Amino acid sequence: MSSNRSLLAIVAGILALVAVTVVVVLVAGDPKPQEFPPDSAEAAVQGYLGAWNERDIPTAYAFLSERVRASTSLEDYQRAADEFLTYGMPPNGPDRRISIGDASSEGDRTVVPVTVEELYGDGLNQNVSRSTRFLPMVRDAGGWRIDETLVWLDPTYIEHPK
Amino acid sequence: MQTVRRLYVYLLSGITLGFLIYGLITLVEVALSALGVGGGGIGGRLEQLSLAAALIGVGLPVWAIHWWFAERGLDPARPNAEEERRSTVRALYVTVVMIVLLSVGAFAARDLVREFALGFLPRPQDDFYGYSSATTARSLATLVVTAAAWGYHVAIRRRDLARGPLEGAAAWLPRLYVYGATLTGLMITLQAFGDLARYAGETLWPVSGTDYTGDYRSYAFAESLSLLAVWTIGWIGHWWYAGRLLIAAGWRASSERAARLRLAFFVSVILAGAFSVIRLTAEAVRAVLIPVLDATDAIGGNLGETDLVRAVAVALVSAVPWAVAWWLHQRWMHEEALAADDPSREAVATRLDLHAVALVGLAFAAVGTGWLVGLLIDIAMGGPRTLGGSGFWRAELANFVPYTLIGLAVWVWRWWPIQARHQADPPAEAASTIRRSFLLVILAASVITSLGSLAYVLYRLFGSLLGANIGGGILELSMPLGALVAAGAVALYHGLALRRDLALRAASEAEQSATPVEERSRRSLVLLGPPDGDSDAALGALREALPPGFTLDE
Repeated sequence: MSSNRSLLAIVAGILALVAVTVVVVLVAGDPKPQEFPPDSAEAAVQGYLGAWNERDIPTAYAFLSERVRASTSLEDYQRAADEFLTYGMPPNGPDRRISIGDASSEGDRTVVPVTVEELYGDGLNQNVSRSTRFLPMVRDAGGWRIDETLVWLDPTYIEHPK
Repeated sequence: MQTVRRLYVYLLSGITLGFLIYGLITLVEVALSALGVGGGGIGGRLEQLSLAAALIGVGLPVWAIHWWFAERGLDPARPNAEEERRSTVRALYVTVVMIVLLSVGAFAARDLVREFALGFLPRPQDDFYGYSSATTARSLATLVVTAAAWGYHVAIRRRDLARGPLEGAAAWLPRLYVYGATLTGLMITLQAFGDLARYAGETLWPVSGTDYTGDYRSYAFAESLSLLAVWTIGWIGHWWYAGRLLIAAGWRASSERAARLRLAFFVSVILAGAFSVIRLTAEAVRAVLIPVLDATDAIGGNLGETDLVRAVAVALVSAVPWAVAWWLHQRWMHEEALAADDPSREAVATRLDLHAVALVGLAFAAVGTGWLVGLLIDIAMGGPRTLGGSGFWRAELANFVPYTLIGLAVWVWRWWPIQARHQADPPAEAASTIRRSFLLVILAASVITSLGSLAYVLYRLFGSLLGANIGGGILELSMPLGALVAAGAVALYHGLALRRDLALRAASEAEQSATPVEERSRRSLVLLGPPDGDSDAALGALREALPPGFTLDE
């Protein structure tokens, strides 16, 4: 292939890549969440985060383990959640997304990795900040539950008002 | 032995000069305060006065003794005077001292101009971003003392130059200062112009959802204005001096015209100009793409129509001076190359121009392509596992499509003529050091990027195989994979070009070695002339007077 033809092929390839990416992004829109097995630890985390997305705090609370719920009442949890949302911390937004990884077990400890990605900066400075948290999971009579006092994905000590 | 002695003398001169200058600045500051400049009064400044006296008391005699030793070595009556004048250590000393003095003086001048500008604007609080209005006396003192010291060293340098030709490090080190200061001045001036354009844009089209206070506006505007004023003077002053050298009498003009540093300066401006024009144009296109791709929410929920208009206008206005600087320096480089005695100079200038801009375009195109490939991998493999982030991909698309397309256009614009030159004369282009350097730089950058990305991908892969809790899944892999694909493709394309060039060079060398070399008589001559004589002109006259069949080579 002559050098001019190879150059034209490169240009055509990159233009095709741009066109495909634009079409895929516009068509993909909001992807449908993956369907995890209903009885899986990942499904419990998905349900918990989905409830937070809907601002359905009682449902989110139900995904916490018995131990956590015994230490924090629904009223206290609701109050902490309201405060969290007031401080301008919507759990999801167009510039933030959450990815649920595969659960892994070691001995009697099961964790689900959850990665939060946030878009920041612009132009050449644009970047994605990623932080991964490992949510400890326990299985009780109702299925898998998150065994940590979380407000959305932030570990929090919720104090009972005096 | 002489070098060790020089190192000692100039090092001690430099350190004690620092003591002396700091002491003098403090002394002048106290004097100005006593006269009521910048706050006024000498009360509470006795400690400063003591410090100034101590620094001058220690610095002045020790500096004077060491500098006297340094200067004594240049006495024409001394046997090593010429060696001293041509020494690398002396050139390094003068260069470092002038760089430090210029930098400190420019900071002080900026503070003074900013204070002056703030006299016409709402003045910020004293604790605003560490701003303090009580520094006028200090800034003025610093400017006066550093300007005097800088002027003295300029005079020293001019005297050294007037005594005859300088070569090697003794010539290029101070030249590095001249072109470094010119380049720094130009870059800061253009950047400050862009900042002023941004503030003007924010005034014409106020920023939605934010409340920029008077403090912010005043301070930022005054800061950019002062940088623009000070560094425009710094840039034009040094550029004017460099221009005068070109038309100076004697050896200095020919030395300056042939200087590689001057060529490197032109190339640096071309690189910076191309980079900034692409970046700013991409910013303007991005501002248009954001609403088109419905990525407004992801960029910022409060963005309105005026924000987008402002973004486009500011980016394009800021790009104009960079484009002008790029065009002017490109033109000057070619004009000087055409006027040079050496006919190969124009080919060098053309190659440098084409390859520098192609390099910048390629960098943008490769970064953009890597992100787009990563985005596709992200969507294909990681999308279903994510929650939220509806505008995530659109925002990334709006950012990196302009980089890809504009970078690609610039690369093709410059790479096409490079290829045409290569096709017209393959051995000559394959033998070009500029082309080889260009290919090797790209190869090195793309190999390093590929290796970094591959190492990260393997780390995730091994972690996954070994059951390590690394988290992140495909999201953490998509961008490294995209970078790996783009860098790998760039490395492959340019690696193949390099390999073809190597083969061409090998064939050309084999052909040359097979050609019998005509035996010619050879005699070496030494050309001597007056210290300020133009040896290039003399050489040219000799060449013209040669009988047929004779050549005069350097």
